[in-house]
Amino acid sequence: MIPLIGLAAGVILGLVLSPTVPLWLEPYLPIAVIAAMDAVFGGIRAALEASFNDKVFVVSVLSNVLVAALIVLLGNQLGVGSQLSTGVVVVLGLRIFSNVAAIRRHLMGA
Amino acid sequence: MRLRPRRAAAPDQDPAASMALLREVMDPPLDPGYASSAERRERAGLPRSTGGRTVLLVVSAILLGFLLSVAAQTLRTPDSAGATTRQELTQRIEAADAVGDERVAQIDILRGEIGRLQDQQATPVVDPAELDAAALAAGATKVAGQGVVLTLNDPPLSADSQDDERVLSRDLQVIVNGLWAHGAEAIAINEQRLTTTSTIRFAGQAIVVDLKALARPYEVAVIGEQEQLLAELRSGSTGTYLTELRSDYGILVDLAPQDEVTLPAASRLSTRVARVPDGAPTSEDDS
Amino acid sequence: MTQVQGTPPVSPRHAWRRVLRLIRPRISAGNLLAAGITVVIGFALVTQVQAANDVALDDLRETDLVALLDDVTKRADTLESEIRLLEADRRALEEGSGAEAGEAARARLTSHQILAGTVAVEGSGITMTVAAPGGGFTPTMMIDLMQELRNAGAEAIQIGPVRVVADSWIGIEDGTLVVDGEQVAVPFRIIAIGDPHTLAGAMAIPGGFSDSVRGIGGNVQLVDGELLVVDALHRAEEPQYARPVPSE
Repeated sequence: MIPLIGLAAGVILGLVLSPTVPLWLEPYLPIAVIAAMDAVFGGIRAALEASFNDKVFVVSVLSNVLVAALIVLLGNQLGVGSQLSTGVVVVLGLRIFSNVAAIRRHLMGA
Repeated sequence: MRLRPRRAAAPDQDPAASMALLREVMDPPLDPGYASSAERRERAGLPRSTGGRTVLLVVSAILLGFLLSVAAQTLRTPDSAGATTRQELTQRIEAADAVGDERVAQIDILRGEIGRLQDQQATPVVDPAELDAAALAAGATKVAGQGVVLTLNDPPLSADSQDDERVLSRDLQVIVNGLWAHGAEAIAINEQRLTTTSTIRFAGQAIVVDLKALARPYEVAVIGEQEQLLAELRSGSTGTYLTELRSDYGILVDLAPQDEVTLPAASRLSTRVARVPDGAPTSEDDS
Repeated sequence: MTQVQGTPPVSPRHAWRRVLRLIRPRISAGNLLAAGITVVIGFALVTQVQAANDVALDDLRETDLVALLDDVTKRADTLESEIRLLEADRRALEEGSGAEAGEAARARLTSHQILAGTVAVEGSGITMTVAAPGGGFTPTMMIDLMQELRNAGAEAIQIGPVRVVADSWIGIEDGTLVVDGEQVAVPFRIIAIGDPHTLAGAMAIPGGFSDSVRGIGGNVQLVDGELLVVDALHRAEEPQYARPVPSE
């Protein structure tokens, strides 16, 4: 519950402050969101399996976002940014889906 | 080991062994970090889970929410400062365009009134037939007749759309040139009648005919001998050009012969610089 | 979070209880917040999809918008002066003497004849002498030339012996330039009546006509003139299919 409130508070904070994101940072935003979502679902699954750990969660969020951004950066430098972004989205998407599937198994047994 | 017991038990016999990578992608185990830290905590006599009430988690949750909404906002309005000037420009363009359209309607009415007044003149100084013929030739009259309507449209956007998969001003120029060469008597593109001073140009991705930006689809309406026009648009050099547009650039081309095509009169028809020298011959005199 | 020590939950019932405990304090509020977040995500996704599909004015670059604004303003202005001329004509017809009405009618006839290319025309403008020993003119080059001259406000154009009007077309036959079905041999002269300064400027645009003639190994000599004469005439044929429709 408390993390959920925190999440909502962050959303509201962002809406209220609406900071201007520098142009060079923009390409990384979608990928960062996807990576963060992956970590969040991983955390929920861990919570359901009673092995949630806050440090592991934070580290996984940070590393996911960083690696995703790194891949996009590398792709942009090599001139294949969109292809690499697609790859990242595919892999993270698959992970999100399978984590959601695991959560579903835990909650509904199906 | 713990994570992949089946594979470890029979590495060679498992028919799905070669699919291990795929399986790992499709059905990944829980982040190993969670498992190992849970085990560690268990050994230390603590609950496996740290629960959801730690400061660290709350802070990171806030940050994640922040990231989420900032990303959403940023991607929604890519450049807020540029957007306002753009918006202003767009509004001014639309306003000026609307003013222009209003004036076109006004000009139509004025021409009609002048024509009627002209007819009422007891002793016309200028031969009315000559006046009508010149107006017709200059494009000052609304005309109707048999012809063809050619409609061009950009292909729908898809993920692998190329930037050049669009109708260009060049395409319209080439098509119009081909039509004039093969029997067109009058042409209008999206209700803009082409005259001696008409231009077909490009402003970025917008096609501008006679200083008015056109909205898609582009409708080239032509009056002339239908058979000749159709032959040119189907199998002439313009036809070849259209086929290329269709096959190479995915442009949607529609050709519709019509018994009655109506074209509006052109609006800008005054001359400012050009004068007729005294006693100059006219081609009516020649013929 | 305390009693399940050591035994990970396996039954759905267990997990459900865990979820309930996670969100029990205020179930409705939690649901609302989650709904809010999904709304935010969905909104971001949808707006991005829409932005990718919308090809209108919004899709143009700012410089294009500025150019376009220039165009539509110019259009509105010329239309306004057209209205003023027509209103003067109408006044002459309504109130003026027969002479004034005749004058107005003659002026309009003249304008129409100039545009139709059926009379000789004089006025200021530019003359270009185009020489390209190797030939190599392409229709697009000449179409560009016509567009550039018209855009610069040319009211009468003559290419070689041919008067260029609305329905003039460009072709290439056996490597020779054809304008309106008539062969135009190199070197030829182009005369355009209009504002000399604007016309000369338009011809000097990088990548414009002068550049493309240079590209085929030719050259263009441009001279401004205060009194040029375009004496080639367009033979106006009675249209066979287009018939005038009286404006309502």
